[in-house]
Formats: sequence, structure tokens, C-alpha cells
Amino acid sequence: MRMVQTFLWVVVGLLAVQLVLLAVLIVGKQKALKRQRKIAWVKGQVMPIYRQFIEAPEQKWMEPQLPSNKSIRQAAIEEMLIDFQETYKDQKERNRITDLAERHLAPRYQSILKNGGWAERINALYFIEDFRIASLKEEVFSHFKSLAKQDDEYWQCLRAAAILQEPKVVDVLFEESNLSVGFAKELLMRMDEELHQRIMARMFMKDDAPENLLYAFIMLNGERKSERFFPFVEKLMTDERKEVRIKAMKSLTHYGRLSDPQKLSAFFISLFWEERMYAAKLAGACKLTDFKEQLIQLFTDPVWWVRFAAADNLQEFEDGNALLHEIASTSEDAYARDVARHMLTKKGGGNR
Amino acid sequence: MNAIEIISLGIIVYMLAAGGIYLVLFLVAGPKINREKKLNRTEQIEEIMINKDTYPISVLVPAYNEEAGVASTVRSLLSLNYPQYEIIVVNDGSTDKTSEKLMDVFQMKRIELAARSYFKTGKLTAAYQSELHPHLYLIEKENGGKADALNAGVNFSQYPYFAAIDGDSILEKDALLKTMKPIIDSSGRVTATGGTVRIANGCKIVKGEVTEIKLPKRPLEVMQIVEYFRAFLIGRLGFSRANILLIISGAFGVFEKSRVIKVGGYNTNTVGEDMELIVRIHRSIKEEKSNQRIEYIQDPVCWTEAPSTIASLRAQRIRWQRGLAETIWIHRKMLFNPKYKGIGMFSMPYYLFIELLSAVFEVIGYGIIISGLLFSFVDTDIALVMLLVMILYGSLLSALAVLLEEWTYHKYPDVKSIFILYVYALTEIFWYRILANFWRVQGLIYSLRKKHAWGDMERKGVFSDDTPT
Repeated sequence: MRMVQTFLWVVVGLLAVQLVLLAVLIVGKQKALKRQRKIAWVKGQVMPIYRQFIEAPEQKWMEPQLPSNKSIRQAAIEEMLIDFQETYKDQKERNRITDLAERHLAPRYQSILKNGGWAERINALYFIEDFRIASLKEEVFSHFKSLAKQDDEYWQCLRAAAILQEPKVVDVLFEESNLSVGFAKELLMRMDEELHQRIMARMFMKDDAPENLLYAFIMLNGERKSERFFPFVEKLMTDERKEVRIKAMKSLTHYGRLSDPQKLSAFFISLFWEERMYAAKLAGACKLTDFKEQLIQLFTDPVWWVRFAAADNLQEFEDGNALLHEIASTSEDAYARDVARHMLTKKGGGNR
Repeated sequence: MNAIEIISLGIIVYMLAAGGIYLVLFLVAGPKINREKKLNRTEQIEEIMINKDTYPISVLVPAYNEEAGVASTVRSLLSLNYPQYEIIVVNDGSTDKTSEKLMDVFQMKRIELAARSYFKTGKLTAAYQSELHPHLYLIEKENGGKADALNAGVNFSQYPYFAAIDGDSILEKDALLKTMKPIIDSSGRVTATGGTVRIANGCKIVKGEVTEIKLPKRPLEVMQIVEYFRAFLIGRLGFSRANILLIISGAFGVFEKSRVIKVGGYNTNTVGEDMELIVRIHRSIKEEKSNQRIEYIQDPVCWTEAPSTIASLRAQRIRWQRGLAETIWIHRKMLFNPKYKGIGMFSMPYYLFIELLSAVFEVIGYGIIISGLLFSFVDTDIALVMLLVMILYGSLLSALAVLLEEWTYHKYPDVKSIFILYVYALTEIFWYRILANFWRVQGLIYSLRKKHAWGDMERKGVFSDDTPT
């Protein structure tokens, strides 16, 4: 009987604890819902006035009366500015959003960076980045320096510092050898040309750039078709490191041009299939019709990806479709016929 | 003390231990949930959306007689936020108008097939590409089951990652971004991911998108919501933290194609192909001593239609149980094998003794309670204790899951829903769990008499075009 009683007490006890928790959660939820309604109301009231400031700042304008409750006020402004970010893409309008964020939100984010919890700090860093709050540049970087663990906060800190054009991020790029290509590229994307110039100069001066940074730099410039760095990228096509050559070729497919196309011919017979594939892609991207024959030869390449790249890029030429028809019906090589036929019937979608 | 009483005590200890394990698992995951619950999820994935390096994905939709919902599933997939992806519907020899429906709505045009074959599958008969959406494909093949259809999809897919999604599920707009995030953040070290699956019954769905979250009316459906909370919130996160997660829901998971190819694709000889694949991936990771891992994200990303009738729920549960039994049987060598570390020493035994066999123990428990309380074959005290422990293990644990859900995600917009879910959770042990346990025992018996088929779920068409339910 004692055992029954003990268990009964456990069940009743736990149920009671849960009911208390349920009550706490329900009260909490009601409060949260009330707060949300209040924020939405404030936002609804002030948004049209701020909208006017963003759209026509030359008109007479008066800052609206904001609620005295700091937390509601800041939350409403934050939500409003997020909405504005969605709507306004013009740089002047964006600058005004930044002005408002500097005025109303910067002090809050500064104190969160100092005293907030982990998730709050990351959220603050997201918004410092989104609203480009330049006054917090120093704080962001010194906060970064204080982080020991490479987690979301670490990465977000770097992103925010990069977008605020903090030059010390360049040192981080060179010193942190474990940054992935993708992340290095994310940082580079946020930096302006001045910082890029600084990076290139340092790459030239001493050969200490981590490979991932170099790859990211090559790729990003291609994607942006950045004229200023074209000679740098093109030169790397003949680098002694295979991976660098491949990245440079990939980048050049985005540029869609080569200053000396003859440099490409050696790649069609490269021992590395990746180079043969990129030779085909470059020939297509730069519309180098002189390499038609080489492309057709690649239809019988032992590697599937190369055959496909050849067929796909032959289509870039004016008579590409006619050539594909010819190959599909007359080639002696079954692979070549197959790939040509497939390319003729399939629109878009890329390699399959 | 007689034999029945010893068994009774054994079951009581077992249930207390199982409940304890659930709680420990939650405690393992708790700090992470707590830490991340305030994170701004939209901001978190913004980067992936704009980054050109985000890995492209092939979304595979195996379909067998899905004419009611396939068009809206595809429509919802077409509106996903993701920089580059393709959708491949694999019609696994449907006998209804699944293909016709797609061809009609999306203007599919026949294309030549030049698919590479990583795995042998049922014969592909045709391939189509949409004229309206060039990244939408339909392939038709001879019937071979869901695993075979997925394998055919992998053969046909062109991207380095693929997502497998059930024809009866819909994804949140940011689902691919959120599930790919761990893969991108880890530069590919994460080889498979899955996210929390939610039940869509009761929600308002417009054009393949959940626009309002509401509870369903039928008790059977409400109960499944509680059950999902319990499974996902308490169970999977803890497993994922320790890299010993064995289930990525069949409803939605993302996989690295090269890894899946390396392990040989989906196993066509089991009804639990989703779990079996994960176990095989873990096995190969451990055998290679690779540092790759499988991760589970806590964000809800996928909505699925839960069975709404007793018959279809029963069929589903029997199928799940069979799948679990078959997977454990296929990989029985991993059980208690230190070579497989946490998987062999903890996950596999956990799935065997708690997920698979708990139903058997609980059903025996019912017998003991009835024989004790009604016929006095067993000491009444023991029967009462058993009943109380079952209430602890069944109802209170589920009720806790409801509280945790509100504490972490508060997806349900009103106070009333939380209250209803909580009350339902408390009733679980008195009806729903009894039904489920009997079906699970049946499933166990059926797994000994193997028979292969797609799940015969009766479709209400929760996701039919523009139908709010």
C-alpha cells in the first residue's frame, strides 16, 4: 500500500507542477500576445509618419510621439525598419533607414552586445548588419575579439564588421586559416573595392593568403565581372597550382572573355578532366568558335562531365544546334550520340 | 512473489527507466533549445538565400496514386525560397491519373532520358520537363515501391544534394534554406539533415501554403499532434546533439547524394526505407572513421497530413513498426557493438527496447492491470502502481512535451489551443496509447510475415488545391 501511495504522490505532485507550469506559460503567452498587439499598434501609428520621412525628407517633418516604454518603442521601431528594408531599395532611402536605426536602436544594440544573452547578441548583430549601424563598428570588432568559440556569433560578428568596412577584418581573413571558401566569400562580398584592393596588394606582396581566401577572391571577382581585378584572375589561369587554375577558369567563365584565347588550347588536352571540362565551358562562355573542333572531340571524352560540358557549350555557338543534330545522327560514338540527343531535347536545367 | 508479480515489477522498472531516458534526452537538448529559442530565424537564413554558393538541391517527390494532392504539393514546392533547385516527381507506376494531372497543370513535355544509373531500379518509361517551370521534371517508372522510386529520382537528379519529400507533405517556404543551413555552415561535414515535422490537419492551407495554424477537430488528429511533439521535441534533438540520431523523417530530409550513392541508395526490401538509410549512412561514417555527421534542426519545416481515420492510422502504425523492426534486424550486428560507438551502444538498443518493444511491455501491463484490478489475479497494489507508472510514462510525459512546445516555439497562436493540447495529452494513456500499442504489437507480428507495399493511407486531400480545411 505504501508503494501505491508513494507513486500516487509522485503522479499528483508532477501533475501539480505541470499545472503550475501550464498556468505560468498561459499567463506568459497572454502577456506576450498583449505585448505583440501593443507593438503592432504603435507601429501602425508611427509608420506613416516615418514613411514620409523616408520618402520625402525635404518636407516639413516632426518626429512622432513615441511610447515611453522603452522596450515597446524599440521593438516597434525595429519591426518598422525591417519592413522598410523590404520596401525601400534606393540608396538614399536606405541611408535614412540607417539614420533612424542609429538614432533609436544603436544604444540598445550596444548594450545588448555588452550584457545581452547569446541569441539576443546574435540578433543585434544581424540588425547592426542590416541597418549598417556604422557607429558600432568598433564595438562589433572588439566584441569579436572577445569571442573564444567559433559559433554563429563569431561568424555573424565578422559579417557585421565586414559590412561596416572594418579594415581589421582583412587581417582576420589572412590570419584565420580555417575559414571556408564560402565564408571568406561572404566577407569579401560585404567589403568595398578599397578593401579588396588592399587584399590584392597583400596577395601580391607576400604569398601568405590562405588558399580558401584566394579561391574566394578569384570566384567573387568573376561573379561580379570586376574589371579592376580581371588581369589578376586571368594571370592565375596559368598558376602552377591545379586548383588555382581551375578556380581562375571558373571565374573567367563569368567574365565571358579572355585577352589571349590561345592560352586555352592546351587545356583541351589536359591530363586533368576538370581542366578539360572548364576549357569547354570557357570556350562556350567566351563564344570562342575557333575551338569548335576541340569541343566536338570532347564529346567522346571518357569522363561524363566533360562530354556534357562540351555538348552544353557547343549549343552556345550559332550553329551549335545544327552540329548537335549532326553528331546525334552520325557520330560513331554511342556516348556522343546520347549526349547530343539529350541536349537537343532538354531546355534549361543544366547538366544531368 | 510469484512470476507474474516479478514480470510486473520488471515492467514498472522498465517504464520508469524509459521515462527517465526521455527526460535525460531532453536535458541533453535543453540548453541548445533554450539558447536558440530567441534567435531570429529569418535573419539567420538570409545569407544562404543570397549567397551564390548555396549548394543546389534536387527535390524528389515519389508519388503513387497521388492524383488528389500531387499538383498542390508541386505548386507549393515551386514557391520555395531557394536559389537553385529542381523538382523531380517520380511516378511509381500509379494506376490513377497522377501523371495526367501534372501534365495538364504544368504543361509537361517529353524529354530524352540520359540519366546515369547509380542504382538499379524499376524500368524508367518516360521523362518530362515542364514548359512553364524548366526546373520541374516528371519521370515515370514501373511500380517498385517508394524506395525504388526514390532511387530512380536520385539517378535522375543532377545536384549534389537531394531532399526527399512525401507526396502528402508540404514544406514551409524557407524549409530548404533552414535544412541546408547546417550543411552549408559545416562546409559539407553534415551529410544529412532533417527538420521537425508538424501535422497540418486543422490548419488553413491556401495554394499549398499553411496560412493559419489551428487545431483539428477530431480527437484522433489532435492526439497525433501531441505525439509528434513528444517524439520530435523530447527524442530527436537529444539524439542529434550526440550524433546518434537514427531517424530523419521520411516526410522530409536532405541528403548528400554522394554519401547515399556510396552506401547503395534506399533499400527496396523494407518498408522503413527512411530509417534504414540513416542507419546505413551512420554505419558507413563509422566504418570509414569519417568526421561527417547527421543533424536535426529544431525548426518546424514540414507539414504533413496525419491519418484521420482509425483504419488509416492503424495501417500507418503497423507500417512504421514493421519498418523499425526490419531496420533493427538488418543492422542487428551494430547492436551493442562498441565499434559503432553511440549508435551501437545507445541508439540501436534504445530503438529496440524502447521504440520497438515498449508496446509489448505496455500491452502486458494492460493485462496485469485488468487482471489485478478486476479479477485479483495479481496483487492489487502492484496493478495500481502499474497504472500510476503508465500515467507517468504515457500521459504526463506527453503533457510535458506540450509545455515544452509552448515554451520553445509557441507556434499555436492562442491560449486555448495550448490548453486543449494539454488536456488531450493527459488523456493519452486511457485511449490513444492503448490503440497505438495494440497496432504496434500487430506490426511487430506482421514484420515476421514480411509483405511489401506502399502505405495505403486514405487521402482526404488536406492539400487539395485551395481547400481550407
